[in-house]
Amino acid sequence: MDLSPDDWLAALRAGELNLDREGLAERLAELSADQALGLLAWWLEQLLAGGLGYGLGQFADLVGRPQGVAAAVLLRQALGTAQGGSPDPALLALLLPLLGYQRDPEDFPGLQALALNPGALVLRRGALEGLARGLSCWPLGPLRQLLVQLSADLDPQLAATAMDLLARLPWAREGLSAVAARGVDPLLAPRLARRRAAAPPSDLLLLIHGRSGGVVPDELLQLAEELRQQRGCRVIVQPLTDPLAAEQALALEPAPLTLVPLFQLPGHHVRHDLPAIAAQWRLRRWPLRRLPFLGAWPRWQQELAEALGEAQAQGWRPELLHHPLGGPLAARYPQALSQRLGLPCRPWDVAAYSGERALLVPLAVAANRLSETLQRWERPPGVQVWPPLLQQLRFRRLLLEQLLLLA
Amino acid sequence: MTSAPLSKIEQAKAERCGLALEPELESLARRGWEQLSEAELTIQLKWLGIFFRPVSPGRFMLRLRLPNGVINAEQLTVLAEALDRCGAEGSADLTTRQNLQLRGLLFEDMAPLLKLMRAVGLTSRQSGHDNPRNITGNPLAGIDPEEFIDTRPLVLAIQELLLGPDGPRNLPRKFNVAVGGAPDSFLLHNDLAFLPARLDGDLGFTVMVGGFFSAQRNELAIPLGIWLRPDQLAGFSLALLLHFEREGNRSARNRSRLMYLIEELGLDGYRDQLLASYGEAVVAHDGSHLVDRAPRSCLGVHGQAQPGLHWVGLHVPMGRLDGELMLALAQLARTYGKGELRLTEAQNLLITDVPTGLLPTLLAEPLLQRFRPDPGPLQAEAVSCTGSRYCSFALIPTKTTAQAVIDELERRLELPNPLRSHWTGCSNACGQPYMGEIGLMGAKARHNGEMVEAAKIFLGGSLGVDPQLAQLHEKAVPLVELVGVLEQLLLDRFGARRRPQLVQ
Ligand code: SF4
Repeated sequence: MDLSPDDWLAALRAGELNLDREGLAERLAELSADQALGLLAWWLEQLLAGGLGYGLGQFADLVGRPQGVAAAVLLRQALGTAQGGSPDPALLALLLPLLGYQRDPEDFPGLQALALNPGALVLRRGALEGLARGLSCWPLGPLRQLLVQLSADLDPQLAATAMDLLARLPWAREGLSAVAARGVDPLLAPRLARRRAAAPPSDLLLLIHGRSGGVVPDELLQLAEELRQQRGCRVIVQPLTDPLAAEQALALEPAPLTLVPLFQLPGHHVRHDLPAIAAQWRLRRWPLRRLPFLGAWPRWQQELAEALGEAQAQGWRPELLHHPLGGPLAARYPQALSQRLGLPCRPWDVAAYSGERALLVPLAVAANRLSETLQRWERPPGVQVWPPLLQQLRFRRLLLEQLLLLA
Repeated sequence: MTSAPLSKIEQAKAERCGLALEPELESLARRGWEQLSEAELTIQLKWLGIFFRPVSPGRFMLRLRLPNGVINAEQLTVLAEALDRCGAEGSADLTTRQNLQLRGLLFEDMAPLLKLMRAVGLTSRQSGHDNPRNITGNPLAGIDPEEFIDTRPLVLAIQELLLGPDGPRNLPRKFNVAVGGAPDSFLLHNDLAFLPARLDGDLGFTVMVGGFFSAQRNELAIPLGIWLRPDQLAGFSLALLLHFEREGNRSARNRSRLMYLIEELGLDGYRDQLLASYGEAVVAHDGSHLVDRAPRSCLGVHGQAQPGLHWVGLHVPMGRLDGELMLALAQLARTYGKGELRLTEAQNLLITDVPTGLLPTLLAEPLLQRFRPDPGPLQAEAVSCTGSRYCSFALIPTKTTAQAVIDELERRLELPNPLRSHWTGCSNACGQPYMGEIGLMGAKARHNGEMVEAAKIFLGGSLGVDPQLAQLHEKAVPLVELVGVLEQLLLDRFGARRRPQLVQ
């Protein structure tokens, strides 16, 4: 009997044909997208009516090919119906990977709930496999959170799969470190170690002020080079003063990128330029995450406190100096820092330095106009000027260390 | 020129070369590969070695290229790590083309994996669909005390040219090339095989063409009637494939392998056209060659051509591996050899360059309980296609059936010699049933009034000096009866004896 695909489908629906693998496999190549969808619909109906008992489950691989909104709708309906009655977990578990394969973000909450639900294991595994098949289409944050949680699950297979999926997400190192921090089944520890060892560090985007004409201060060039070598990743230096360099970097092959704003103060650049720059990278399809501006890092502030504490112990009276900051929001930072360090912090003004044993500390990550003005300033005897922070070994070391630890 | 409309497949191939998808893999993974068209997903991606698997939509397969079946520990580790991340879904098959394919990968794995592979000198390029497939050679090349010539550089040179800028990108059908280097280099199942042959004392190759197995027809390659120097193989292969790309049949896929073109043009006509496009002078030859016996079993410990060094051939049950096992094998190769492994067409693997002093410790490794150097005579040479776990065409679960049947037969019988059994899930014959002393092909049969899984039995495949393809011996034996039928066959025809404790 040489039936056209439509007639064949009709005969199938009418119950005139016995389904067998060989016949089905041959037919598949001839079916149009709509006909394949029709076949899926028919199969789901049969499955819901008769359950897995009639051997229909074995055809899942052959009928599950259609992908898209219409197939997702069919599968959702089928799952809804199946869950409504007294659901057979094995039947649901068969459909969940197919649902994930439709890659519709709408299905994330449902799959998430099933994966977490302390119900039948086969169902939870089915839901996780569904999440695997659609991996890159789910919302990243909640997905990462879910996988971190499942990595500590009591079922080792579920936990192992969650860990493996986590290792494929951008900034995998971060997720895997979170898993390690929570602790895993000792049986899975070697697996976690393998995943962590192979997880690549994300590329870095060092956002800096730069000197006029886009010149990058030497201390930053040196830092970038050390990072490239020791972290083994791409390090892009983007000076605000060189729009052309940014354009070139944006054209590179996108990969997960961590934006590190190397600013000491939350001035205009941090509040306005930074979000705009991040948006620009995201627009060009770079998966990007932003770190806070350097001056806000607790470890950085602690180092500052220690270094200045040592200077005080040697009899110096440090004064923190910053360039003028616009707006009340920006002004809060110097106040907070001043409080944290117990030191005065004010805008630089030649007339206002406080005399003998004063240590003038420009709040500058790298050489900038303020630090250079201070260096050039004919200062009275007994007054010292600190070099910009990254020109001091201890700060450069600390920053390098922190950026190497970064996922 | 024919004006017949292009078939769906030819249209997809003509639309654009699948290689053009490579730079897009990363962003496709991020933006969603569901936007790939059917043609891109199921056809064009195979130019990168990426296979959409209808059996597990969303879990992909990657087929490598391992010229001459050589892989090193570092490369194996990269593949193992990728596979290990696939957990229970991940597995690897050793193929009958001395190659590896990884299953269970997500699309998201592809771009980073290809990048890592490139860094360690691996590629999966053009390993599927209508492309020149992995080029095979003597698995013992360079270490074989019996070899005439080391096939590795020859195979590499051919691959380089075929994948190079002038190589074919749109063949009418898949194409198998192989280079023989030893007296047991049976290669006549290839579209193009170079067999070692002497001419006036010079060692070169006689050219054999047109071998293939398919659901419709099976042929061994025939002599083209020319002899080539080793340095001519690569250029000649390129010319032959480009000619096939131009002239091969694109209207009927079941008549598009090289043999059909040879028949259409006549052997003399084909040779004339081919040599005209090759352009270099070649010497006429009668097709005689130095291959005079069936492939050796490479299993167990054997002395290499290099004194004091050995290869240890390990049996890989049904050619199947997983990530953890691959990591362990890479470690073995590093610890006991120089970090090199070889794959054989019998889906086994070898660790090379093991010094005499390290043999006892290697043989005592727990991993060798699983990958045995001395498997039973049926195990050793059993070859199997994928079967129903991963292939929609399969009529039986090939690997598990083969394993269970062989285990039971070995429990019952003793055999005087290793016996080559080739298992295949359907008439597409990927498991090469026609090359087996016993060949088995998945089928359906009526049994007690019901349709059940069954196997057809083929007998008489011989890969020696007078090669023969196996012929159908018995139609569809239900799997439940298979052990009994095979047991009798082994007793009657292959010198098997019942094990003493079982003789009552
Ligand atoms: S022989 Fe058939 S079942 Fe086996 S891999 Fe090939 S197509 Fe699939």
